[in-house]
Amino acid sequence: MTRRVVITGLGCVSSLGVGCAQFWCAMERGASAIRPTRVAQGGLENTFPAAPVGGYDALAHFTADELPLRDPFAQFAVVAAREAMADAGLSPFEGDPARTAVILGTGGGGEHAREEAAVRLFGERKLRCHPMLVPKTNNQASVGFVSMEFGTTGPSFVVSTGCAAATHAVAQAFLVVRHGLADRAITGGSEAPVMLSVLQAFDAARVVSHTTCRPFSRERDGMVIGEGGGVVVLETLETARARGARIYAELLGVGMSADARSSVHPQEHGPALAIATALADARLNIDEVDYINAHGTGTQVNDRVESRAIAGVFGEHARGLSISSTKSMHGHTFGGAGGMELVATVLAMHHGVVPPTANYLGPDEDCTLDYVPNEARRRRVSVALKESFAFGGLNAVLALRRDVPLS
Amino acid sequence: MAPQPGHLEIEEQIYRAVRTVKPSLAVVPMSPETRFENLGLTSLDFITVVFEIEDAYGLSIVEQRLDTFRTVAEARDVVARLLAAMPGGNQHLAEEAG
Repeated sequence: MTRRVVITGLGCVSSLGVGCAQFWCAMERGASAIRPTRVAQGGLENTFPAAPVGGYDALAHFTADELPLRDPFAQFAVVAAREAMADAGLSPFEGDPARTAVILGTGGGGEHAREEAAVRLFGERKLRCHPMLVPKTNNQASVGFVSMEFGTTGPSFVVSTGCAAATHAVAQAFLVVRHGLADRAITGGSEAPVMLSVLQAFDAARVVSHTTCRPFSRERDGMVIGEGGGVVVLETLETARARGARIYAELLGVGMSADARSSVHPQEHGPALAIATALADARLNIDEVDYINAHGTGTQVNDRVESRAIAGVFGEHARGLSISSTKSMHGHTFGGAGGMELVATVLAMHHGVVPPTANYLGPDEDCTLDYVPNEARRRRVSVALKESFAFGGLNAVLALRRDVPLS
Repeated sequence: MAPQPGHLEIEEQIYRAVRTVKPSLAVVPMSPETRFENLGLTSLDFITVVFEIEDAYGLSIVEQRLDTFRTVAEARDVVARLLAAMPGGNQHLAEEAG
């Protein structure tokens, strides 16, 4: 069974604000949420450029009794899922619960609870752990809470491939719906890694910027860690049409690959294979693609390798592409990034506006394509790709088309 | 007979533990006769209440299989007994607990 799959709902929590409207309005202005952020734990502290979720009051979304068991990454997933389901016209829930999947990405799961537990265990030398530690740190906690939120009982699992987790999750959800295991999926990802231990760990790997995130730009010096979640509702074209739902775009195909070379150093052939596979799965010609929402972390090596991979796959058409990294505005949210950036990609198609790469200072000799520097650009986006690459050399790409022809 | 100050302090600590785990109970009056099963706690909540009490006093209630109490007063007596049994424990509390 092969069915067509469309996107009918969007939800987002980010450093640019709670909700898709704030997310998109800020990106249209090229506004970046990155700011010096103090993180402290166990009597230690440091300050990094980061992009924590802004204007978020947990008690506006959850009762005080619900919060002890919900680490921030799980909260973000539920809040984004609520918005996506309401946007899709599915809240209160309608449809067959057993035919609705929940497939979400996260890299680290409940990192806040884990850090607090480490302080208590090794710092305070208290052997007894908090009874809620396990369910709170579980990577699948976000999926569990979203399924409970809507009472869905279909295929439900978490995908944990670091920075590519949400894009891999959407790819799995797409395959589940396409091949008839479910008629609908709530999918995307979330992460809440703006905390001392995570920032120190990534800083030790020399991938964190001490200025800001300026992908593909000269003088770029690394990623900036952000937090948030992005969730979409996928369903079959048939069910969407039957209930008269607004269809944002069709998810045409996915591509996944591994570099099989290095844990931390991305290679050109892996991303190129994922892009080519997504285009083939979507039955797209390279000259049909208008926009690529890039992985674009702002590290020297990622942006060089990603640019080369795009140039290698698209040839002459690479110069006709608009390419941007919205991480320059909302930070790198690891397992949430692909969900938030998919929302950005779909809204770019919906509004006919390409969000920019903010903080761009000028061309770099290794990055010579059109990165939509600093200012959003009006452009009809009929076909777009969303790319995500992870440590381990694991890559995922989604291919989307705005218009949904009848045949 | 009115409870001794030691008992009151332990009861207050138990109320605090319950309200840490389930903040909405801040508006629910509790007394020594309050039964935990009537507070709408899940099994995980109840285990966490025990953990919070243990943490406050540096006790180990679970290991002694004493987490079977049903009321605040029963919990209080268990805590008092364990405190008294600690090195340098307060025999006064133990006597109160009977």
